[in-house]
Amino acid sequence: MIDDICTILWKEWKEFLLQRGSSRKTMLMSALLPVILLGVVIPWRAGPAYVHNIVALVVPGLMPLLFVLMLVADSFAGERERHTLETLLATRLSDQVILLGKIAAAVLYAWGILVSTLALALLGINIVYGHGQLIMFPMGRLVPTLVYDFLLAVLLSCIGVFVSLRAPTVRQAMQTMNLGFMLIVWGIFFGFQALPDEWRSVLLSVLAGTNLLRSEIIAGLILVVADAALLLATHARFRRARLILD
Amino acid sequence: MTEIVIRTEGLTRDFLKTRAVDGLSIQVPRGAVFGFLGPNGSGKTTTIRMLLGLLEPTLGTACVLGFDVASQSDQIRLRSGCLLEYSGIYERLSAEDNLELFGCIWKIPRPERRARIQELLQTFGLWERRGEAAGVWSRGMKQKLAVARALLHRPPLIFLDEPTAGLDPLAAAALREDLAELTRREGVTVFLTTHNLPEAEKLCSRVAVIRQGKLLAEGSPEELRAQKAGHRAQVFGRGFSDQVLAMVRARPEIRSASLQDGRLLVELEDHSPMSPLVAMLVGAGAEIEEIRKENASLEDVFLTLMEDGRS
Repeated sequence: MIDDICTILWKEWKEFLLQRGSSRKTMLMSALLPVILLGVVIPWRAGPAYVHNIVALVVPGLMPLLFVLMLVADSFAGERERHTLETLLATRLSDQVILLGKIAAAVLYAWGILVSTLALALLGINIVYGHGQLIMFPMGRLVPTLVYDFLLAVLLSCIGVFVSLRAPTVRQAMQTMNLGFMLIVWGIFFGFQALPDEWRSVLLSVLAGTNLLRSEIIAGLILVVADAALLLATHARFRRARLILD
Repeated sequence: MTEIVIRTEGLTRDFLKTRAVDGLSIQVPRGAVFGFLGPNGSGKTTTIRMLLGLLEPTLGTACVLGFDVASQSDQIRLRSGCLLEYSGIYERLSAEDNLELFGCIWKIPRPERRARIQELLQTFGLWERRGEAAGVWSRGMKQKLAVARALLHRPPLIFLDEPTAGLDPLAAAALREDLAELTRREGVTVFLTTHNLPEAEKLCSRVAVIRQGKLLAEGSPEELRAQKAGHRAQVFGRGFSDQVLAMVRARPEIRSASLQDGRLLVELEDHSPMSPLVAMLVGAGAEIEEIRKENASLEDVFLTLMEDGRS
């Protein structure tokens, strides 16, 4: 099963990286550009203070999530649009392999960009400014960033695949997802505004870090449960016959 | 005894109120190139989808390679190859990468996979352009690549859904030749849907004709020609007057008769002998020099069946 998932993953990455051209140079540039920008240019401009700046982890953590959306929007809707879906479904691959392969391709791509960006940034900063001392992100920030980014990528992938399974075109899948996320962001914003003052101050104190570790663990668990529920829902929605007829 | 690779009994599929396939019962023997003929919208693609386990039948049963389509479709897909309605080629990937991908999917070991890809691409004349993105290729080349993909893992059965549709006559002929050569060489059973009747006539050892989801006829092309189309004959000679023509037309064994460039063209009912007609012509004063009997083409059979189906 792992071999089959890797086969789908290879196909998804290659198709994604080749969408702007067919040459290996274009493919390499598409893969390396975000890593070079976030892992070389920004740390080089910021200097050793980079590792203590919260933006240093937030930006490389959030930006790859955009790639998740692009990859998953293309996952089923793109195959349907390009008339390759039925041929893929007519192979020996199981439903789970196809589904997990497409989710894994998006998650690992985004997470891979984050990890390689941070590794490259640390390497560059240590070479230029280290002078024999190890310059490192604070572990209390690094570990939650890596864990949350992974869990968020899974969450977004499942939502994206869920939408892409029924969307006739990539554009429609993207539009549905954009609308959904706008509603979520507005919902959070207006919902927060609508809370009573004392609830808001409790929430802010939790987020401000009076008991940050506990809040992080609770948030992590919520994400794990949401990921698991969405994975199950996506699997339940995956039906070969419906995918062909849609 | 001939082994049956595909057996369907009363296979039926409904889409809301439309019955796309209606009680289809066919048998495809091992090693046959089985032509599944029918006009657009007759249920050919739906049948292939059901045989591959991609769509569940509403009624009836089907057994492919010994596996039930409803409960063992994964085993059928494991052992078959296909070229469906669309070529299904990943256009951003090169031809070689397309085959590499499906080679990995079918778990062909790497050295064997490399050799097989080279063999197939060379057979189809695509080896020199293997590194190009398949999206820039002509439709004919993509169809060839799709056939290569279907044969890659040496399946005992392949489904080809109108493989030459949309190709120019030259590309279609080239693909047909390659297809005939490969299926012969590899001993594979082919389930081929088409509405190109000369193509079916050239490739198929058995055919079934379907219209509005219903099976109209099944057999070898020769059997169908013998059963369904009247025998034709051209009578060369002199003295075929209008009066003689009227007498010919009045005979019960004559389906149709006409005069063309001095020749008498007749179509006889099934299995009717020519001798009573010849005797009548001679008796009516006609001088006969030559009689040429012709067999109807598969196209004639098909058109007759469609007409019968309508009436």
